[in-house]
Amino acid sequence: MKPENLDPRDASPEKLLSSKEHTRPTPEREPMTDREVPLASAHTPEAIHQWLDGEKVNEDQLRAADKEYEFWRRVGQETNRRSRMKTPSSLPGEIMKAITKDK
Amino acid sequence: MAITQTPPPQEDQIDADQAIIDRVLAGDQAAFSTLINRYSDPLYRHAVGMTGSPDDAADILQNSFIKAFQHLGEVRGRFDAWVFRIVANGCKDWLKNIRRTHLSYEEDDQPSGYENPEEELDRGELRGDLDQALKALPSSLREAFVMKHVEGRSYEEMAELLDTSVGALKMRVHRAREALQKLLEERYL
Repeated sequence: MKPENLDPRDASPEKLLSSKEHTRPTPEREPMTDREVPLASAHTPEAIHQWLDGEKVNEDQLRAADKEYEFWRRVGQETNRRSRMKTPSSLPGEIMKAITKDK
Repeated sequence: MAITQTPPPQEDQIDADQAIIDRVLAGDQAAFSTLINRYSDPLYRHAVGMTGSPDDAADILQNSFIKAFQHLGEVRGRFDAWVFRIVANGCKDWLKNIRRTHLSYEEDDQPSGYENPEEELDRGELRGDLDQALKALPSSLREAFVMKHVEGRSYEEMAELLDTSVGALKMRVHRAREALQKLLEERYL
């Protein structure tokens, strides 16, 4: 499904001036993705970030963050599983069929 | 975290892609399937990571490759980076649209796309909770987290694909981790 164009720069000036919709979006109306949402965040120790980024980590600092280490190890198992996902085998054929049909 | 790294294509790979593009533009449509087979897996993982829905990810991928085919003559530089941007924009459009229409889907009704039945059976509660937590992130943080930890890309590769600095992307990934930890810590930490 093609999303409608939300960019006001693409509308004509007349349309913009006459539109009742030409008001600043309220938080309820504005798409979530375009909003800066203040995110609640936990403190993730620097050693964990370094480990997750594949950098050299001080073993003592990593041991001191054992709960976070265990948590991110579990998340890592899940992301590793996702990283092995494959395109459904029928999809390349369907794409090629659509391309040939469109021509 | 992600064991499989997505290596950026080498110079000869870029040349090979260009040779295929030239063949397609010269009328050999079937040659396009080589590009689909070469790049669809990482792009599919990106779309699943961003949408949380294998079905919608497949739709985005199909539309993106069709668009890529229709505009193939406009490729300048790396094909994989160019098609990645089409897919990434498709995912962002999908997110805007799905949030506007408040459409939802039942995660368990979706085909999994995992490689084998053992993996399918092994999915735990964390999988669903991680999906929900990822959905709560702003798209820029979700995108950075998925590229780093699901697609296994380096910060340098991410910076090239997203046309952003390594520092900004590190910041996004760190913020994504801290937000995810906050969302999941009550249950898992």
